[in-house]
Amino acid sequence: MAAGLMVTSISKTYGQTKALTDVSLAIEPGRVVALIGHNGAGKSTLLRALSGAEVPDTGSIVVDGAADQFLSPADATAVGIACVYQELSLIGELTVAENLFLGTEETTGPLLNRKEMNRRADELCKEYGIPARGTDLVSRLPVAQRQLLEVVRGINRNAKYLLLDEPTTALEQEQVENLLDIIRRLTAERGLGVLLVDHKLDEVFAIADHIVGLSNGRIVLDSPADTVDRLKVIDAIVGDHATVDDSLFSHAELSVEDLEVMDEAKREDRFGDVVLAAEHLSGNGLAGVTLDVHAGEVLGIYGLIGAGRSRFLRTVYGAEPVAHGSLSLLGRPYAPKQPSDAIASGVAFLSEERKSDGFIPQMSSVDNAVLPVLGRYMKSGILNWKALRGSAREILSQVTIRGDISNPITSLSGGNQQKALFARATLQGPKLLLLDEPTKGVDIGAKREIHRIVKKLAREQNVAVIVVSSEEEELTMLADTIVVFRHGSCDGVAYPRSGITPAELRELAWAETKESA
Amino acid sequence: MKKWRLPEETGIFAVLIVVAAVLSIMSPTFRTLDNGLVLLVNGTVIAFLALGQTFVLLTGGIDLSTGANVAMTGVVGALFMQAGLPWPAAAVLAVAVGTLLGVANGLLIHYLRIPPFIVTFSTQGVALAIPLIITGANSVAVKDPGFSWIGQGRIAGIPLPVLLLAIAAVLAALFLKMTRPGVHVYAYGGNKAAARLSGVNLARTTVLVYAVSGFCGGMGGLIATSRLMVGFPSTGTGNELFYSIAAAVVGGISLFGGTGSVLGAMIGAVLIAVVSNGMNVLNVQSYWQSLVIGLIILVGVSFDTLRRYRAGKPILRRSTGATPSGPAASGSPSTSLSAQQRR
Repeated sequence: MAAGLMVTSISKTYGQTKALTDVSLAIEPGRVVALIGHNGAGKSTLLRALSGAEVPDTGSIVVDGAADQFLSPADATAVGIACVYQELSLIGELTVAENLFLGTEETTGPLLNRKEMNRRADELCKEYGIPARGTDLVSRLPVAQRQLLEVVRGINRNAKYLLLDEPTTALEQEQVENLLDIIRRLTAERGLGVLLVDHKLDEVFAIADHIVGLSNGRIVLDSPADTVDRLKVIDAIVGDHATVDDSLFSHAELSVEDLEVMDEAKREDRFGDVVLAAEHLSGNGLAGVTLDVHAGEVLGIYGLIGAGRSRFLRTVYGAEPVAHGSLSLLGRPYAPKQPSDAIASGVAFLSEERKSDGFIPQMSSVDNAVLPVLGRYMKSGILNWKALRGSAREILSQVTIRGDISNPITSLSGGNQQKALFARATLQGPKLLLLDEPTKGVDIGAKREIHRIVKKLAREQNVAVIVVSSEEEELTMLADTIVVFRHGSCDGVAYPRSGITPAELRELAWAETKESA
Repeated sequence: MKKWRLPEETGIFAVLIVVAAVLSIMSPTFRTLDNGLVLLVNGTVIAFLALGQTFVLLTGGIDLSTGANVAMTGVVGALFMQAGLPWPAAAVLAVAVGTLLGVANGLLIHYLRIPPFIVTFSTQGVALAIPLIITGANSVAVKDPGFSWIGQGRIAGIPLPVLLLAIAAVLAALFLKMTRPGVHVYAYGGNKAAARLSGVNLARTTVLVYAVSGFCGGMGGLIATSRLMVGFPSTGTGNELFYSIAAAVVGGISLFGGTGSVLGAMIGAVLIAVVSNGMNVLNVQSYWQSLVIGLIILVGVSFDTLRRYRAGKPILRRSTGATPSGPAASGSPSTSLSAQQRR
């Protein structure tokens, strides 16, 4: 059999979600395959399957005609597959040389041969244009250099196939060029086969020999780079494929809830006053965000991962500092220094990562729910637990949680935990509710219920809601209006929900790449 | 369908009863009322330190400077009285100095983001050295007989140190349960990031818990000095720190933060006092005490770790009754749980 990394019709299912369906692709030595696709299209799963981190359900992966089984991470390394993930795996407290030779140290007898390792590390850095020395601490290097170093480490271990997961997101233009040069050289001189996951079509067309597009876990494009143009690529991955989620939610049911005529009236007429207005918010991962949201409006934020959507929410909540630009809340200047300021101003927030910063695991759902509002049921410093727990129980009963709400919150399923956190936000009686991926990792039933809660808050209590989601379908169903983030910026153009389709949303998120074409 | 649950402290309380019962059978001296009071008085300094340590441990931190604080505040108090201050004023000032050390710990930990272990390890050295430097390693005698009341007085037959401790423990327990800053201490220790997003002021909470620990160290210094009527630069620098952490941990205060109660820590402190007194009464060489208490810590921490491990996987507790059904049975415990919940 020919040399190459051959993937033949692999499929992978998580619960009810089909992450990959019948995916086949080939990475040949000396060639670059670009893998493109939307958030959740299955790119990461495919990458993980190739690097042995994930075992597919069916299909086969064959490396140079040898293996006929799925790989373990150790197998993958042994057959020469190196994967560079977005989260870097270098150890900051070790030097460049120590990182490059970690696990394959040079020794003289029982002693490390540091001199030799440092010398070779210097050589490698020079060869690949990294302005660092073997003895530098990795934590002192800028992210871009670390990214390159990670690539070099992969190559240095005799990798034959290099998998790169969006390696250019953290890089400046010049560094991108350098990385692309390195990839070109490696493929030409060493016959390395490269699989490059990348959002930026410029880069894809600059370097790829072959382009593979994934959408909803299926291959939707598989052509040599010189036979397709940008529009064709965008069309393929944006597509207008009916998705699983679409069929599960019936539009008819939702339209009953939507009494207002979406297209006709102006936002100002349909909703209340402006609750939050952001003007040219930038710095700290944001590159100019201008938008506003009205009382009673559900504003959806769409964008690719890393476009600054979560960063924006966290900035509004006071969890991240504002560098430039201004925010105003209910017409007054608003500059929260910490989340407690935001809470005091009537802003509530639901984090994307429930486990890491959403709840206190040891506390019950009830106690978690009352945490931000302890001050409201207090008499000369003494908490009135009866009133606190009473009000929490009342609100928790409205969201129908399955499980015991006086047990630690970790005893609930993900969807029920999320509902408990919604109850917490409701209890705060917020004027502005910030939701970061509110239905991530919850089942369909809980999802439907969460959508109902959000709509109820906006319609009945006139709360302004901002919801970030990576699911286009979720936004086109839940949000009244949708704005799009691209590379940390947002122009504030609000698209009415009924006037936009999931496919158009995807297209907007990719728009910059398209315009520069 | 509200279930009645045994309080968390039941286990440690049962252990205390069993140990006390065994010692009572083995030694007629142990079971006298007088010995009971001696035991409690001897245990107050450690119990005070354990009380302060409880606040710190609940946030997931640790205060290593608390034993040294006893030495520092004891000597400082004695010096104030030597300088002619009336004893109540000297006592208040000494406790204030102890609290100040705690505030310094808290500020360093929060604003410089140095781990608590390192900050309090360093301030322990500082607090140890100050009394030695001031006194040239000599003890400072207390002349004012009124001062002896703190450590030796009695109200209605109850030794004053025990009374002070009881009042402090009740106030601390109420504070943690019934006030907002108290609840914030638990939230901080449970999940710092989530606590911050829920509006907990991390700076204030950090300073608060170390200040409480410093205050308790100061109280320990007062009591120790008053009982001997001498400020020794080395009081409190022996096993006190070790025993105070032991008391809190066997009492169910998690070293990882977020769980435990003042009641538990106080039962733990009494248990340590009982073990230590019982070994004295039985004429066991004092060298054995640390060994036994070290083992007690290990057992306490093992229980805590096991409990945390199980808390992450509730199926281990629930699976006793329910048989995993059909396809779920072949999956991991977590899949069978989610299958049950979905139904």
